[in-house]
Amino acid sequence: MDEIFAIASSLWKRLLGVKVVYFLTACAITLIAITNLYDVLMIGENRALMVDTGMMLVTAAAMLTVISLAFDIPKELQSGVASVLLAKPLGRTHYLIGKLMGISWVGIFITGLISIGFLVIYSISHGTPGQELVKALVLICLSVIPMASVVLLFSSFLNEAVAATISTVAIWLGYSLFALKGFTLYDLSVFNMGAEAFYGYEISTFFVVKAAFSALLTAVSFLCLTSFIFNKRDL
Amino acid sequence: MSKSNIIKILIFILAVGLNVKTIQSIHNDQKAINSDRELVTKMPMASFHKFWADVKWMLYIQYMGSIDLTTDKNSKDLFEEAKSILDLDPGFYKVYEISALMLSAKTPDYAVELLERGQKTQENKDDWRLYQLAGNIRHQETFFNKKANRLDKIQDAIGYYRQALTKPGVMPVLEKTYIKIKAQERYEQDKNLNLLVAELQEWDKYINEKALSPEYGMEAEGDMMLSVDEDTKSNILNLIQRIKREVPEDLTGKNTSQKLLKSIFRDIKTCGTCYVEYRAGDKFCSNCSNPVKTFGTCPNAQCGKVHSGGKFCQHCGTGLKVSKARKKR
Repeated sequence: MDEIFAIASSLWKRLLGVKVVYFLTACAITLIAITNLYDVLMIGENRALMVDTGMMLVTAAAMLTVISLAFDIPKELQSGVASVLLAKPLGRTHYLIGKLMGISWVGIFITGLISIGFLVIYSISHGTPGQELVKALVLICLSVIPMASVVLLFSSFLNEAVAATISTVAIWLGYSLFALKGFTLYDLSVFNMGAEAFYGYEISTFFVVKAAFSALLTAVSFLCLTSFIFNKRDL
Repeated sequence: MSKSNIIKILIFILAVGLNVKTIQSIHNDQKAINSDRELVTKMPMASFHKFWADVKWMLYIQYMGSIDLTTDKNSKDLFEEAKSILDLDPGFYKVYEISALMLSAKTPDYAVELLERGQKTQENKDDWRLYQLAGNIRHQETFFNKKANRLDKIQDAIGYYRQALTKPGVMPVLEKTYIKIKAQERYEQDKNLNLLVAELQEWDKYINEKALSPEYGMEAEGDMMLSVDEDTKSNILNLIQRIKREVPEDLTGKNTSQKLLKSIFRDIKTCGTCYVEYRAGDKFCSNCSNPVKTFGTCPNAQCGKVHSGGKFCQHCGTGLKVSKARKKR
């Protein structure tokens, strides 16, 4: 367990040590604040623009954060860092779990940071945000976990560029698979409740719990698949 | 196959199976929370549909601003563009309202089509303004569209107004429009009918219907508007007065006027000649100078002042007669 935490915290320190992460977070929060100036251009619908931009930027931040894993693992494998790590009494599955945990922490931290900034700006501009808005943001933060597991799968056997591209496509499609009737193996649209939050429809806490459970199950299933492939790989 | 691989496969199958069940359950919850999700375009846009609808809305506003005059060509473009925004966000009320207003003059059918689409969404299905706007557009066609079948358009408008009147928060002024157009419908069917009398009959019918039906007049959610408000009363009284002035010989108008005066106007006193309301202490009608039956004055001949009710006159202390009906109450 200690090894898993060591790998996770190493990824956490490395990614959050990059100053540009905070700069981009500040840019995202500034963009959200700017939408409040679109009152006339939107014919009074600037609240909608603020909520939708906020949700979009939090989701985009989640996507970009997890995609950074597609560069991290292949790079470690190519440079031999992973081989050194795996030479120690550390299983390949532990390595993958460590990476998944690390990127999930980073993703949840960054999306959480932007979400808090968004909620502060919203409360200054439009009054106290409703519970539904907070729950919708929590759901986006949770979506980091299944997204990270998808990236983990592709980055375990593909090179950086290909893994990043395919992961982006897989995440993008993950939100649209609900359109294919009956397809419920993997669906990221369960974390998209932005419209419901904006229109004030009630999102129960049980719904959020179910979505969190689905996030964990998606991560576990992808992790099993990744581990199966990764263990077969000749490093 | 190694033991660890078998365990992984088993965990994988178990996780996928449980996840499928969980996602199915979440989908059902999502449908129950917001049925408009079904109306959103299936285009793969990650979760950015609503954000993209906002961007398109801004571009749409710019496009509307660039139009000097609506033509068949740009009306079609506006309609298609509005539909594409609504595909992304079916609950976007402003798109329905502004597009319908923009399209109503040149292509009213497009405008009504958009409004009907809005009326089917969970977000807007109870918004009376969408029904009223559709009614107004059909009503306006009876004036400007010479080719249109007047009666058909009137009946369409009636349908929309009627639906609007059943929605929460509807403005009472809409009742007046509804009654006027109902009278117009009757007039279209029988040109011998007097429009004022038809309107009064419609008021009578509507008030009775409203009193009996729980469908009508929701002032706010769960709050029934069964009593006739002052504005409506004033409209009806004006109508009664006009009928008396303009078509005094119309028997139907006379009978309906009497019926309404005895029901909704039983608490006020009106002049028997011109039906203008008079107040306590008045001896003659201020409108037609005919003598009226004085009420609300002290029975003491030396006092005769208007009293404010109660058991005794506040000016001279004379005991006031309290009617049997009032005593019972």
